[in-house]
Amino acid sequence: MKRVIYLITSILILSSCTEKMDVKLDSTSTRLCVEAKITNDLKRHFVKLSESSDVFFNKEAIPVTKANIKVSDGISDYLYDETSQGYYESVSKFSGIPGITYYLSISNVDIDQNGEKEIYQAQSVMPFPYDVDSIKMNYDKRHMNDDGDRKAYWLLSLYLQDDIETENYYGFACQINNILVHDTITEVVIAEDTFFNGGDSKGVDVGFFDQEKPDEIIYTNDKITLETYAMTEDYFDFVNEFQTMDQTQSPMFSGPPANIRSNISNDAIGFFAVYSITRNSITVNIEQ
Amino acid sequence: MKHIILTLSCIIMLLGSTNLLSQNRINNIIKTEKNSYTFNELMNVIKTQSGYNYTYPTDSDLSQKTVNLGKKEYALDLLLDKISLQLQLKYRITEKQISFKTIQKKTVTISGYIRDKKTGEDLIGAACYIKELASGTVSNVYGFYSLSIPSGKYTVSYSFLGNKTEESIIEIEEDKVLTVELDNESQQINEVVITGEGAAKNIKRNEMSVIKLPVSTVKKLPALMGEVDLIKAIQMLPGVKPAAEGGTGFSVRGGNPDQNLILLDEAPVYNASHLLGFFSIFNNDAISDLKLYKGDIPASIGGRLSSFLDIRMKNGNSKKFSGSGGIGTISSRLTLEGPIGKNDKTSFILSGRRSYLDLFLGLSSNEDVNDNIIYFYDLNAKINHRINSKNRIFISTYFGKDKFKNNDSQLSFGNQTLTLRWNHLFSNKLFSNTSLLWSKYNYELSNSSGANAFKWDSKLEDLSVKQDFNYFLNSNNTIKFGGIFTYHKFEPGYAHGIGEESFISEYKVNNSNALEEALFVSNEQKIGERLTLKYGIRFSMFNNIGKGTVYDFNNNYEVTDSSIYKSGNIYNTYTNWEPRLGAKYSLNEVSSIKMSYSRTSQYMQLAQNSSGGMPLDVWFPSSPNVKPQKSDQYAIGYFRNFKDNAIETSVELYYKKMKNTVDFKDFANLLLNKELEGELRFGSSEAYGLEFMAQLNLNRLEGWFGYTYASTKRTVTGINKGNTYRSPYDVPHDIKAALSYQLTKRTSISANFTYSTGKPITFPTGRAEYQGAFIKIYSDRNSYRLPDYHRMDLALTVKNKKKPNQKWEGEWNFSLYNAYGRKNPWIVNFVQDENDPKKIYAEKTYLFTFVPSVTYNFKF
Repeated sequence: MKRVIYLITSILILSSCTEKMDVKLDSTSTRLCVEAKITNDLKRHFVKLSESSDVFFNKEAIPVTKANIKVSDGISDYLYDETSQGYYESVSKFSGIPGITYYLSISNVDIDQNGEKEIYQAQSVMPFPYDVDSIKMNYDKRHMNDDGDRKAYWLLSLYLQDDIETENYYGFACQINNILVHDTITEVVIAEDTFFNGGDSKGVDVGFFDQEKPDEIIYTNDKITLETYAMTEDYFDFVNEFQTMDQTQSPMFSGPPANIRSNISNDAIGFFAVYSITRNSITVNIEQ
Repeated sequence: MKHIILTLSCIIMLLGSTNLLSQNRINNIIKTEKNSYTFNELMNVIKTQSGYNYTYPTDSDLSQKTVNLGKKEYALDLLLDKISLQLQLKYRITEKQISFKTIQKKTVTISGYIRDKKTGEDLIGAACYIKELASGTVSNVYGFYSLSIPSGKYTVSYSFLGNKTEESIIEIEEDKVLTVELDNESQQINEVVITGEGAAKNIKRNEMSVIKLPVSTVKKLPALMGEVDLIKAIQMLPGVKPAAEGGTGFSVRGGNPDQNLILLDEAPVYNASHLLGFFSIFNNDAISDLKLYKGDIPASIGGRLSSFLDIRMKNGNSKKFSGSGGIGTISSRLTLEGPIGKNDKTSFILSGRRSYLDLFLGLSSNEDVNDNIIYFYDLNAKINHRINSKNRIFISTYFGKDKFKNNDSQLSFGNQTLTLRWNHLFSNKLFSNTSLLWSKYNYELSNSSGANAFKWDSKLEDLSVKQDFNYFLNSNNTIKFGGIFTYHKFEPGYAHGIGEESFISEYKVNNSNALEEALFVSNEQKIGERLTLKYGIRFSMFNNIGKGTVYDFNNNYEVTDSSIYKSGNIYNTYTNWEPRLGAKYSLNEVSSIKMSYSRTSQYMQLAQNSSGGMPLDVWFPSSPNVKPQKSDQYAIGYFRNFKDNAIETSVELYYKKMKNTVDFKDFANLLLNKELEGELRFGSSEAYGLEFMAQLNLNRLEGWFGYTYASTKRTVTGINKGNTYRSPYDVPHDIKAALSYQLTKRTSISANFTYSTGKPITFPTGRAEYQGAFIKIYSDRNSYRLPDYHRMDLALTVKNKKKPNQKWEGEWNFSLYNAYGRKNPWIVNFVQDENDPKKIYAEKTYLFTFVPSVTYNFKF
């Protein structure tokens, strides 16, 4: 879809210009922003709390400290410690179990500073991980990216079989030598099975390595790992809305901007993401 | 009469017996002393001075009737005409004897066609006016007029904007067919502009909120990239706003772009844009007439809430073969037209236009762009044939396409229309038009690269039969009635992978079918000299018909169930009564007050979430889940003409209440979505405004300027927390001017100017950090505004020197769009600073600063 939009906007490249402008905006009330994740990895899972700010705040978000955080799977509770300001980690390592619903609860927070502490809650079920058959790496020296530029790219092709019985929501991010390069939420590639339900992915590209970006350059013998996320519909929609919001707006293609969803109560921003990960690795062999 | 009539020459094709006046030219001069005489007194004066005797019916009271005179001296024949006109007599001169007869009083009908003398084109909305009765009519969209009057001797004038007024004194004792050809106004300037009684038609006509733009005026105005564009000209009118800068979408009185009914020779056009909407599909060389109804929509028209844009293609020159065209900056045009056969009965027009923008792309140094193919073309064709004086047929068609293509992707879209029409005169009072209409809009999108290879088609098709009758009952009543039956076929989207390598399977949005029917009747009734009423009713019906699938949605707009209906099964019906009322009250010769009320309903709408729209947007019908939109519009206006009707001004106030307004949920997915109806949210909207307009048709200066104050708001469940918000088309202040000035015989300059409040927009006011990016926290819907929009465009037209005996006429048009380079924001984005990721800044994107262009236009 993005490519199509690019195709029909290529004419605009010739006639449009951009320029910084001054805009006066009202200030907003402070709200709690929650970044919380539980995956099927055995690790200390984290929750990050911060305050929202005005758009032109131009500083690091203010962390929300001294909160009490608890995650429960209905049987056991997992307590979290604040390991650095606003960053909370589970005291013990645990791995999420597919099919289980996790509950997040955040308390001892007074975001609006009215002297009353608020409680924030969220819940999400962990989806079952997907089976990936194989992955493959290809080099394309003139790949058209989402911005419509043609550049040299390494592309990662995916082979898997979609389950026809379920609605599946996929997310993809890649590591180079065990370092996650697609580490911001806007770099995660997402897909739902609407257009290939029950089908074979036939080597569709899901990993994109821009050879002009220093951290994405691939050398021979690099180990590339694909993380395939099994997401809930709600989390998929959150990421989708996030990415839509992050794209450049145009009067032709964009609907009116709107606030993206959140699954956290009490008017908080952010998401309690619960998803499972499948990892597949491959070693790149560049023939000289 | 204060109008100056320069020419009395008239070309009147008189069928049947005629008595043209002044058969015997008599040159005696009669001197008079008084301003008024009785008939007897005056005839005695004539007898004394010229020696002519007279006779008259003695049983009448004629001898004591008064004749008013204005001058001291008359040629005898003119004086006799004057007497006859005032006293409704006819006369005959034999030897030295003048014999008068009274004209038998009965109702007679004059009817016929009004055409252009040079090209034979029908003149739509030309006026026929009878001075002595202060009564008249205008020709319908086929150039036909009919007027029933008491028999008598009258001064009959015919006039049309841009053509000379023809006036003659005619004795009408029987029904008469008077087909008139009006001469084109001379291109010479320094000539007094000719106006007739009919020129005050904006005062006299019982029609408000309607603007007619002569294509000739539009052609003089500056245009983006030199492409004269009818829709862009419309956007320069008060009450009309462009939906997005540079685009052809427009909003009328706060309505949505999809609430405008655009008919090209009566066939609906579903996407009037080329090239991302920067140009409209209407090739001005092929268009004869353009009329926009912003309200007061006639009962014969329905199906859209806000406006009706009536575009008529030329019939083709029936007098001689001719051509016209132009070579422009982005496209070239050629139109050929002429008679077929010898007796003026058949004529054709063929008109084409193609862009060559891709040639420019080829010159670009940007590798990513220069192998792209981007073009559009239009073809208009029309044939009309007069079978006999009572029957006429027309066939017209439009075919247009846009194509975008690069290495692996391709998009093409276009409209096609076909209109077959048969005009039939059952009598000189009953005019009938039968039309068969077909219209299609489709697009095709594909990608051919390996695993992503797919093809995606979408189509909307209409087939209609329409019957209109105009019954000219008498000079006080014109009744129109008829009906329309339409079959709509929606194929909103079918996508499938292509080739073995493609991982895409297939996805099909359910096709659907619908019937749309309407019956209407209306009457325009004159009551006395000053008051005219118009009242009509339209009964409209919409049926969803199988084969179709209907989803049931729960309160969270999730599908809970679905029902499939068999082919031909009508599973849902909506009906609406749509009253259309209007009144005009003339205050005097130059001013009037008008009022109107109209209810309109709309059964299909565009799934368009962006303000500008794109070619992939699909139309969807009313259904069990989507109630038809309804609108009630009330308007009142004051109309006043100045300077012998050369300046027409009007002020109108309107109020509109709309029900079942459709908007879309946040982050709506409108394309390739089976459950599209789940993305819809419903509510109501309200619009009001004041529009002022002055249209100038002075000697050297023509054009218009306007000011609008307007407001339009929506309240929709599930959007903006249910609170009322500004419609994207809410623009309070709007000033517009489009003027052209004839400098010399060969050169004219023109300018457009527009100044309006910035469009409503939603801005982020807050932000929150999340996984390396920012979540923007937005204001209430449309609670901010873009900076004010203003722009001026200039154009200069220079005609080549005309050599005698040379058929070829050429002119150069130089235009400059956005002459002072205002950087009007097209959109404002809030961008994370790459160098300092903690920073967000606002960045505006603007289009088109100083766009110069040159076009060469020719005629032969």
